[in-house]
Amino acid sequence: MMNAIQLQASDGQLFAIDREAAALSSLVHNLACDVGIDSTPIPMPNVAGATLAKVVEYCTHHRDDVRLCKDVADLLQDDGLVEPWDRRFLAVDDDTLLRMLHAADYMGVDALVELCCVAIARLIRDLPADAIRSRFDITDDFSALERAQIAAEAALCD
Amino acid sequence: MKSGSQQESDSGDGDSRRTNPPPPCADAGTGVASAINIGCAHEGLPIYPSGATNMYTPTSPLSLSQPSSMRSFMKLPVGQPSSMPNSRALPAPPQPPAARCNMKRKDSFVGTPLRLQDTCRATSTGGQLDFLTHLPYEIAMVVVIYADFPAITTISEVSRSWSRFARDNAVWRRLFLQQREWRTARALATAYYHTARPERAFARATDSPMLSSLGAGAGASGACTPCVGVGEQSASGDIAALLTSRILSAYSGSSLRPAIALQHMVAPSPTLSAGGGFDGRSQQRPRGAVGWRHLFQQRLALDRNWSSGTADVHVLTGHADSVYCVQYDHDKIVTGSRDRTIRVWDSTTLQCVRTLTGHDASVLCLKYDNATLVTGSSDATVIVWNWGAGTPALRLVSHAAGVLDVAFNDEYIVSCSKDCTIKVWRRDDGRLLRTMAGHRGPVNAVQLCGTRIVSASGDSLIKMWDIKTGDLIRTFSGHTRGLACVQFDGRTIVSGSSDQLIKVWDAETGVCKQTLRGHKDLVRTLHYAGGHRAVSGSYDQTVKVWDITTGKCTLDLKDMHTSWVFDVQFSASRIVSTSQDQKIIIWDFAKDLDVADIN
Repeated sequence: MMNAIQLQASDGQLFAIDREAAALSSLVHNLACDVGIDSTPIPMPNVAGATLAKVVEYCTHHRDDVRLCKDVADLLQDDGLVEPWDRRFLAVDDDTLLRMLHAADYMGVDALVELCCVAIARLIRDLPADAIRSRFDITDDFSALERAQIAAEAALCD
Repeated sequence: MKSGSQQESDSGDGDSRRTNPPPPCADAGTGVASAINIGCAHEGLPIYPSGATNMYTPTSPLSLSQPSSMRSFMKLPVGQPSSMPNSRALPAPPQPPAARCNMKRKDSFVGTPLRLQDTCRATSTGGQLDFLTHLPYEIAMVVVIYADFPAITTISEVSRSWSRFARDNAVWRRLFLQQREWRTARALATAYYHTARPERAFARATDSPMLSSLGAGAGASGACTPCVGVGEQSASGDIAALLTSRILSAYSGSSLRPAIALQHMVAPSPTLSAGGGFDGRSQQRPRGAVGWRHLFQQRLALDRNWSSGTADVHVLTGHADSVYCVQYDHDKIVTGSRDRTIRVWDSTTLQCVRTLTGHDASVLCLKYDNATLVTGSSDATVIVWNWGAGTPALRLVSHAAGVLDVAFNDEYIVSCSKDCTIKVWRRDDGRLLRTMAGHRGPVNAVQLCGTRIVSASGDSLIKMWDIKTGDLIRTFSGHTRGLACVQFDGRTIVSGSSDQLIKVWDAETGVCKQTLRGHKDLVRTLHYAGGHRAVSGSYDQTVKVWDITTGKCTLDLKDMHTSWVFDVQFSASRIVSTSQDQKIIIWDFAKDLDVADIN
């Protein structure tokens, strides 16, 4: 019985991951259950090596966690959610963060999906709309009429 | 566990998967060949989402073979044809007018596979997908929900595709429910989702005018589909469920989700519709549906009324003497008076609908639930009333002086008295179980939570007792004069004293966490039921609202009572206070807000 699973990133890089750690990924877990695991690397064709490395790092660190479902209000506190290790882990550029989120979603690592969502939410939470647009290169595609309507609706919550 | 939920999600996704394009094996670009091969090799096993290569293009080798800039990720060229099965994925011709576009999309949605590219083209004039739009809708939604309330306004102003989140009923539902102190009428939070089925939601999605521009689409068939439709489409339950379904969808065709999301989420703006939608109070809601944005706005406005002290004030008159005690709910207000009667008032009409008599002296305290009303009097007795008949069912006699406060739960009734004792009675037959002596002054107030009794006395001490054994567990000292009132929610004790202070205590450690200063005379009454807010009434004739966490007085209601305030109670929308001046005052912060669904 092998205890390590090989994952192969889209660029061919190979990563060894513990069975328990890999179980955090429902994709890998179910693959292992459904088709069995031998020494053949499991391809992760949608995940690049650099990103897969992060996901593997996360899963390995949190392999023994029993993650309790947290109150959302707790999640939203500035210091409530993110453990120091997670905080360091999330200290990456926007691009890497988003890639991690996609990879975590694809691989079914729900705790990492949640963590990335919180990190991104905090990124955009305090920015005005034009700063969000320029940071993420988003086109303001409203017509003048729409903009007025949006502003009117926003005013209801001000 | 995992496999169980997997199946559940699979069945829930049934509809969406039917519209899934066939696995794009044949046309797959070389970069994704390995994915395709795996998918085909294990045909029949749900290994890779059939369309996953569309969804995950950004992480596919095509875009990642060399380190790409953040920009390239953030702004994907949507025409990328690598995994698309046919040539419609090529760059778009000039756009037809929005309305025609909608019609076309509607038709094509029914009969042919979704194409992410088409969707993008229609929503983003730049022909580009920004990062949020590129995320699977449920995940983008979680991001928005975690960004929380004030940010939703900013998010709505970023772009068309971002603004759809501010139109999504499910987003507003989560935003509402994650506000710590906001509650809905009990059935609301759960019942609604039991009625919304995915099949229905999906059908709704197809007959909404899709991708309508914010204004233009409202005149089409969507004009009569207010918030309800939006809500049903995205009836995704709570975040945990969202995330779960997300995870599972990695298996079952998540590539489709953004496309579907774009289609059904960009519902016509309800506020722009003739009927009013979210904001039309007169709008008839189909049974079970809730406009969460409307609810959110009403609740927010209610909070602001509390902050600014904006309230309608009603005065109930009828008692012939001081009104000592009050409790109320949605339907009724119940008061007890020195005139020896208990009156029941209709919450809506504010008329006195019943008068109960039975005590031989002032009614000093009362508590009720659906089954029972319990009152204590200066005639030294406690009466347990038969609510239906309005007659005394039990009379508890044992105290040697006036009964100053009562509390009860399913099993016990607790009373405290000027005779310095606390007595515990069986609720069902009124048998006296035990008497706790320990206070050296009259016991002015008593609270019951779980197995704990908390009492406050003229001896300036708070004591905590075990109801089963009668043992004294802890004594809280700190007030310098006698206590008049105490509240206890299981964790926190709030007390008011003749030293004019209100103190907040940690029930477990006995530590005084906060001292609230502001009253100019004895603090006669308090109401606290968890959370941050407490309301107090004082012999200084004012009623004050406090944030017990910060210790700040957030609202000072004065110039209404003309004498000592004896009792006060509050709910999400009202404060009711009673006074020696015979008046019962209702401070209604809801004013003309629609708070029927808010608790």
